[in-house]
Amino acid sequence: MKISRYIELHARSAFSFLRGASFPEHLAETAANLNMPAMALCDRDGVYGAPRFFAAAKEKGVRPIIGSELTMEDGTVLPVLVETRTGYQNLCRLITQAKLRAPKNESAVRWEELPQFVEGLIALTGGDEGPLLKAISTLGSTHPLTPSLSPSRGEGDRPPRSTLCPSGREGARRAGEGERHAPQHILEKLLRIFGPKHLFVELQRHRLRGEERFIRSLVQLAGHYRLPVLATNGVLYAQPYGREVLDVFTCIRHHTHLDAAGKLLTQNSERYLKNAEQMCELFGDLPEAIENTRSLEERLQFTLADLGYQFPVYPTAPGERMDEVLRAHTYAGARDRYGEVPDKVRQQIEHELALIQRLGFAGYFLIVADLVKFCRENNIMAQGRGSAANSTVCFCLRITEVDPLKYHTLFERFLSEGRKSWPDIDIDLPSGDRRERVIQEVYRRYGKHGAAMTANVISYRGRSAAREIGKALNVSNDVLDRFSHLFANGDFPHTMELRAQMEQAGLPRAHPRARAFVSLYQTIYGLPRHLGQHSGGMIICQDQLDSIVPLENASMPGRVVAQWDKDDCADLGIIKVDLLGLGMMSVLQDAMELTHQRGHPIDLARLPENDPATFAMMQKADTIGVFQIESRAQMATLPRMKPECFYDLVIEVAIIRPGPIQGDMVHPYLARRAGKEQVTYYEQSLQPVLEPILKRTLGVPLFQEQMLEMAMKLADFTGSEAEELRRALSFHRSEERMQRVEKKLRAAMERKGHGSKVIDEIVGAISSFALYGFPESHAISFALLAYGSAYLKTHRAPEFYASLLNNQPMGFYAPATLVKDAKRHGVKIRPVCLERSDWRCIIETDGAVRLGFCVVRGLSQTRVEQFLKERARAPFGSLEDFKARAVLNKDELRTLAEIGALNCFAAHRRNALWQVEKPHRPEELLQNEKNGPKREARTDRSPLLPMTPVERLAADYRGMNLTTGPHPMALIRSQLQNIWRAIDLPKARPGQTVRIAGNVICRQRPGTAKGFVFVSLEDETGVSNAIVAPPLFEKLRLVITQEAFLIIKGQLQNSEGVVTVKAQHIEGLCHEQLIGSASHDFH
Amino acid sequence: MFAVIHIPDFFLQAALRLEPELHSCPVALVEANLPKPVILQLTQAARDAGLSEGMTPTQALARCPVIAIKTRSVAQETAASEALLDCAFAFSPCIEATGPGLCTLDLKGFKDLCCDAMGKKILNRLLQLHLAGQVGVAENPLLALHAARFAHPFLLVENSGEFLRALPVESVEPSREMLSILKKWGIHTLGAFTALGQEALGERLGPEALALFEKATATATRPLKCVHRPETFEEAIDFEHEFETAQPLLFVLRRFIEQICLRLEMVYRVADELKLRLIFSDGPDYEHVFKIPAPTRQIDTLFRMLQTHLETLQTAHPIRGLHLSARPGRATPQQLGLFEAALRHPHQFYETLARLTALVGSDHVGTPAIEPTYRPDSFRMQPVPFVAMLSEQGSTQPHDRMQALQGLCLRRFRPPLPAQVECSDRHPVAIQSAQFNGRVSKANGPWLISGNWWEHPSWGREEWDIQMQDGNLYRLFQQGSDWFLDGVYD
Repeated sequence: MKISRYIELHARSAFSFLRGASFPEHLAETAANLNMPAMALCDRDGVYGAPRFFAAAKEKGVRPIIGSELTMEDGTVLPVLVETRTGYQNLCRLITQAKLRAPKNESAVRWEELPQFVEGLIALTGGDEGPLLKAISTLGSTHPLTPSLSPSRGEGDRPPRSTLCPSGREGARRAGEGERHAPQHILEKLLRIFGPKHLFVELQRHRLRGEERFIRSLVQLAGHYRLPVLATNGVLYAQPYGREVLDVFTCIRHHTHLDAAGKLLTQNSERYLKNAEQMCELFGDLPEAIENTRSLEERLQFTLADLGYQFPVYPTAPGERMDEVLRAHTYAGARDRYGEVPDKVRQQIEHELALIQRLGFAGYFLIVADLVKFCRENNIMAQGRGSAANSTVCFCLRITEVDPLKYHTLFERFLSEGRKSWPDIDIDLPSGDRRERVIQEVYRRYGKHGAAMTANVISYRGRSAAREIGKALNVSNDVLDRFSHLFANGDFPHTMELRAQMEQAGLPRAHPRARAFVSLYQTIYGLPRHLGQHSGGMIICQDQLDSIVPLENASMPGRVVAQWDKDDCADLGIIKVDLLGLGMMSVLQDAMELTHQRGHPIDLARLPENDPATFAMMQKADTIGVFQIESRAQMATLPRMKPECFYDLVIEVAIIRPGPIQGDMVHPYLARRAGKEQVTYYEQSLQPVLEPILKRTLGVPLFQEQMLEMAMKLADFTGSEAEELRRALSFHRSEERMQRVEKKLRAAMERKGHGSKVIDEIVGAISSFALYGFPESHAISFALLAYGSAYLKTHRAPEFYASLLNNQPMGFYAPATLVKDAKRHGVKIRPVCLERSDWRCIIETDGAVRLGFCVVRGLSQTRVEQFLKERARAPFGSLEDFKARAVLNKDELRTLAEIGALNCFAAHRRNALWQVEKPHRPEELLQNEKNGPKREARTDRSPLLPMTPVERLAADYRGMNLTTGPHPMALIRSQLQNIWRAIDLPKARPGQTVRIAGNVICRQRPGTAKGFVFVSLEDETGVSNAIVAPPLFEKLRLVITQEAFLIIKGQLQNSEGVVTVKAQHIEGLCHEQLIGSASHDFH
Repeated sequence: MFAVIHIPDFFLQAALRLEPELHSCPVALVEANLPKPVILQLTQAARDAGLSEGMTPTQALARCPVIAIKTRSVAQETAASEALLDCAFAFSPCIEATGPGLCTLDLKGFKDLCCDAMGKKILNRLLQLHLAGQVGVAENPLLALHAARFAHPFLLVENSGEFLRALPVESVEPSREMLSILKKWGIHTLGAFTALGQEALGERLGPEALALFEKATATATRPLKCVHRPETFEEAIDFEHEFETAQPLLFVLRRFIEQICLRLEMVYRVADELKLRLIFSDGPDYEHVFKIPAPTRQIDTLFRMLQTHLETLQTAHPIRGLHLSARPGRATPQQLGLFEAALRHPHQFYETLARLTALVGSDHVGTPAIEPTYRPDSFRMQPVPFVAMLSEQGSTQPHDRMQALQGLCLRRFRPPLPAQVECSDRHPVAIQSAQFNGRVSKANGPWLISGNWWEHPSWGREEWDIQMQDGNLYRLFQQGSDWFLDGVYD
């Protein structure tokens, strides 16, 4: 048999979300292995997988063709392929239109709107969900078959007793009458819309009994209307085993399980990517169907390389060029920053402006600067982060707050000649409403179809994969629940072997479905599950963004999200502005406002440098609530690092990151800093080259910039090669990419004659940066915030804590812990009070923090603000008066009474509880309105007894999840034997066996800690820390992760002021009086 | 006077009735089908290990790694409820099924009532039914209920005021919201509750509080909603793990028979019909009715009947539940039906009949129903009229029927005929079988079909339609490496 060339033109990837079972990359790779020169990806209602498919196919030498399956209003599915850029733009607009008017995750293209979008598109009649085949199968089952075009009962379906030829005038007449859903009618409709040159009758054979009847009908129809036939395999997975995943996905989609799914499941595993030989064999009787794939492929010349994306033009005055405007703005900003612009700054600005002009990026800088200006004008704190902080132009435009010349950061890290893609400018904004205002401003400026959030692809990970597979395999909820609990949260390597985990969850190895569970888990892990929206990444476009990528509604009202994630957008040259919400920015802005209100203002931009008190606090690791340096690992490093100046803080921020930890750089740096180890630069011979690069980090590479410079010096990497390395370093999703660059680096260093030991060390250091190393400029930006927050904590503690409490949830610690920490710092925290509290926490005249109603659970902000207005109009005279004028429901009133917020009108909490239940009498309200509220003395009329301290504690935690009273541990302290308090631990002898106990406020298991778990226990005196070795953790995993209070026995370690207990035994601390806040786990 | 029988931790006791030895071990009962399963009830040993109701199973395992976690079984609870009523009927004809694990007896008409002795008798009967109960006796049903809840294990209330004051407020069963309010108020006992005053309570907490006040004083009596004696005696279990062999089933069935006979004995009846229902993990229920020619409550006789049947029964699916019910009759001579001849040894006859069924297999009796799957020949036998199928899931879609009707008819060989097939270029060219031999002139296929890949063994086959040189058309299929002729097209 002559083997023709076959191109698969109808395939879905897992980005069709539960309708396809393979990664686009896997499809591309398989196509390459099958020597397929081109292939089309047609995801359902979108081009979700197209960028990944494009990149992978290009790399493998397969020409990537774009298409999509469109869900039509009648439920049929119409595949279309993109022929030209116009066609692509039409497809994107059509999908956007259908998606934006439909509920999330749905789409329905109207037949009547299709004609205006068909230019540049080619339609296939589709597979079993296609409009034509649906019509044929419906006709076959419910109507008498039209003789002229009836599905024959011929070969394959049933044996040929006699050939059934098209004949019969009666049948033709009936077809002529044509019901709306008759196949002829559908085909004529498609012909009218697309025209004969843009419509192919699609034929699929999956070796299913019965399909020949339909093939025969389709061929007859194609012949009748003189349309070409096209063979496809309707691919749903790359390899046959993908069928299992698809069946599971089908169950998930239909909310059923495999035992009950019956005929929803597939009949065989034939919808994999087949080679030309297999397809030619299948269509041996219809060779033109194969031939046509080749001729059609030749027509489909559009690829994503031809996207035609343009960044918006910054509006300038007539005759004014954007480069000139940028120059003017930059110098104006420079004068503002420096006064008289120093020569060094001028030189740098000129250098940067020249490069920006050459690369044509002036408009981008202006637009971002304009956005930052909007923030400033609207009193929204904004600060650029990331590599933009390497640019003096950005500094002058006030996009960033870091002066690159002061910190000698490398501009080429941000922009270089070799750079093809747009630079990243990420802007940190206060989280919450203020960030939302900026996002909405971007939508306002560029229109709903001109701007969108980038997508965030949510993938199947441990818990979600196991749960969905378990449900499909009909495993009980109880077992799945236990399986999920055995994951200890967070993004760290999961150390429990899958089968062991299954067994612990109650699914023994011998279970008849255990094998399927394991195999499915491994296959499904990492496949896309659904599309979310990125936390802050926005893309904008000169013309309509909806002609570049389809847009759809996000779950959040008022938000539109693109179908691609930020990496996809970056790969395709679409510019992205990250508008990231930082809780700490909100805290800082709020705290600054409070300092202004209290008459001792602080300006973050003008904080005293290297304030000794602030650094003294850091050296004691007294950093709960401080940005970036409050984690357990940071707190364990601070007493060793002993930061004394701002740059030390920059290093502190950068060093406790997976990159440097994994690359074993932390210990050498600390040892060199402490003078315990000599500062070296790998080899004596390399000192002249490396000293200028690594001197400021004592010979230890800690920043991405240093890595790039080292590569340029030691391996003679050009600017473009360094750029490639930078991309690989920041490209977390491709290990392969990293390995390729690593190989290149190694080879180049070998060529330069470096020793293998040095090469190993340097390559190892650079590779570890693929695991989230910081660029120096980014670390500086973060250190600015860290310093600002530490300074506030030291010098304006009430404002700092009030702002922290007002911006929860954020950071590592629960409000309960923050309240206790505040008290340890001498800040008075007063309970919520009806007469004095606002919605947010405030500072009273004596400097005490008054908790706001925002800390109370279940209170409606709107209703609270209503009664606060009432209170402002006229103070409440009594509890009755409050009840009459506040529109609160009974639950809210009870909560307020229970936490003591109504004690201003009652002798005690129970008294208030007794009173809030008393029904309100309308005549009292009328009387109040007439006479005005009358202040009444607190009433003691209640038969209820006051709460005991334990009851008050429980009520506080129930109502606020915190208490301003004693710590729960204080209440049972007298009943505990041989337990060390946190405050006493430093007095213990190192090596001594001690027992500590407290409320678990933090459980951490960093990926870099080789399975060690860090547990922090809070008692009434402070926080004590324990380390749990992996074997003990595995043994007591559930005790550690499930118990709210723990007793830990172990050996005390005191290393340079860092006190920890190395756990030997752990047990739950069970006591009926204990109630604790939720812990912050595994982040 | 009224007596109330209370089975504390009733759901758990129902779940452990067949494993009474577990009462002394740490066991927790969960409602497994909730989105977030939590512990409902616990054995004392589990409480001693620090567990409490409301914990998640994972938290329980954290605190007590040896805990046995049982799931709630409606079937076992129903059976236990019925057993409780049976026990009660042995003492009074006027019985109210007050709630799960609660039953109220009207003791009116008892002469020289010795409450103590009667309580002991009731408790002993319950123990025989593998239920540990508590009995309270008082002047009205509500007071008796309170007494039963706090009995150890028997309590006769003589001074109602004093007794009630010490009771926890939960005993009057306030709603969740009401209980929450009372707890916030620090009200823990009925004494403290009533001390607040009826008027003040009514003003603040409305009609529910007034109703609770009534309950808390327990002065009023009420008529019982009497139930009738059960028409059947049922025992049931939902297994946590599926069974594939008869042996463990027989063990459970023996206990069921013992319990049912005990319950029959309490009401002086015998069984004249047994109904066995097996619940499969992924198929329809199987039900078999054993008509007992000579009604009896002899454990061995009844058990042998079940045993014989089960030994011959083969099922395609593992068993996850078992129900056995007995219809009570009287052990008196009765008129046989027209076609039922008098048997000398009726039980032996039914045993013999069961053995005969074993020879042909019970799955060869009845009418076939198509399973909703692509698996060829996938059907189940509907044992009609001898065996009743409870659930029907066959595909009756018009589309399917049409598909089935189109084309030529296939006359099936049952079983398919093994064949030797010669292939060329992966196509069959000649076949040889016991009945049909010859060259293949034309072959269409293969049609590939497979399924149940998640199980072992899964299934799959490759089908061909072939035309022999003599013009006859056959369906041929390959399963593994073996070929079979499936049928001939008419």
